[in-house]
Amino acid sequence: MVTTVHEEHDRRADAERLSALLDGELDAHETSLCLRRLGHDAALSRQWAEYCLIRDALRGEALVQPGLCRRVHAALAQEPTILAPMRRRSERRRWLRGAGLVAAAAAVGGLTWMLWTAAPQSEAMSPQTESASVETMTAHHPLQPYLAAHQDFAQGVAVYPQVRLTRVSWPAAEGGR
Amino acid sequence: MSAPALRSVLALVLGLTCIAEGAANEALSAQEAGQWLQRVADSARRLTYEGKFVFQQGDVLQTMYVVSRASGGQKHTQLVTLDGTPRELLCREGETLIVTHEGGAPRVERRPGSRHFPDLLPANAAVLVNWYSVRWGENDRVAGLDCRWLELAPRDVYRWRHELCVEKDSLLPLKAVMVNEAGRPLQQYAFTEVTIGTGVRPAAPQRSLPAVEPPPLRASTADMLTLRQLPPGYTRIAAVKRRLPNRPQEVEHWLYSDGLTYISLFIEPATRPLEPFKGASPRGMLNLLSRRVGNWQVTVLGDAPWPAVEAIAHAVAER
Repeated sequence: MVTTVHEEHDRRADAERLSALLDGELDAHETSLCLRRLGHDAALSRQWAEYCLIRDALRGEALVQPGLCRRVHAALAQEPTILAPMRRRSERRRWLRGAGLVAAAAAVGGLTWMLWTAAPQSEAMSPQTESASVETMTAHHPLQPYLAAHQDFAQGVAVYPQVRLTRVSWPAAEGGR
Repeated sequence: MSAPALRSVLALVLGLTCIAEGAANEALSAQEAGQWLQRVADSARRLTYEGKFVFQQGDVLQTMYVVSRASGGQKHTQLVTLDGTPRELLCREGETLIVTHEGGAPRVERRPGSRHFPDLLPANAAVLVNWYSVRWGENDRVAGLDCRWLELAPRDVYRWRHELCVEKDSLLPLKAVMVNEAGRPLQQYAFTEVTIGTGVRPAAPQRSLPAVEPPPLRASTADMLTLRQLPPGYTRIAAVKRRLPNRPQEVEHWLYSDGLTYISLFIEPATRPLEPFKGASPRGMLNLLSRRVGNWQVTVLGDAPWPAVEAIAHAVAER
């Protein structure tokens, strides 16, 4: 089980690097490397967001070092996010390959959505699949007005009134036909 | 005092302390819980207060100023964003005016809904005891004031846990946390400074605001779909037709709530083949399911656990 041991080792190393980044213990070069990896590794980016949350929760306050998490999340605007149908129909599921990675036009600071297939054995959560199925989420995405409309009622006044979705792909069954 | 006597006294004191702690952490009876919840809900509506709070949801952090003045059974609340674009929210019963100061003249929008921190509990908060088990937690200190945690634990999978640290004298919530089933905080509000009652600055004279467009809402007329069964405690609290950006025609927006959890149901004509899809924000704070029912596309979206969103989405049927 050499692979497993390596994976475990890598995970620990990643966790330590993230922790150091959060504590401001990395030098400029290491910080830059770490941020670049965060930008391309959805799992790592989720872990980073969780670290931020845990750190805040542990300290019992939300704004100890507000700039850092926000700046890093700004750097993560490129994180791929997917939308996917619930049922797998492999012969029909043609992700929008042509779309590819289009530069995110929207401003940062929004809410990123992740949509996946219901099939537990699905490969949709793997970063490779996410990357392959990414397209730009613009302000014209069909879901965005729903989010804003929902927030009018839910927690409307305290939340950013305009939710921005960035980089969500639309399954072929939705967008292509 | 002899050593054995001293030990007896110590044992007694320790025993009493444990009883007090134990009693404090027992779930409250439905009647007690209902009374406390109602008092906390009323405090946020009937008190005059002013302060600054931070709001955290996932990656978003926001600082806001709030002042709420109560008089004659009414309350007027003003919230101002202290980060990013200056935005002012004027909350009245059931609606909010949002004034955005960017560039030239301020832009004013009217929005439905007026829920805001610290006024998060519903008006009839006592009924929450049917869906949440309530208990007092630890003492704490927030924004320099002593408070005590009031914990609302869900009785089923259709809602999340809520915790409020309420100020000891006034019962005004100073901190509010929504926690998911794994115990992870999804959303938090906390005052960093607050003045309650006397000391709040007097209201500024009324300003004249630019004309506000009429609310983009009409009463729902939809009777084409129905919900067969709702998760326990959820009722429909709003049903409107509204015009949304990127939509050629009005969509139906129905809102379901148990008093603390809010789930929206959007209905629009299905204009193309649709495979059902689901989604969530990265930490699961928002869940979504979209499916086709007859000739309609139905999208359910809420700051609610997946089972609640799923149950509502699957309950939709044609009449």
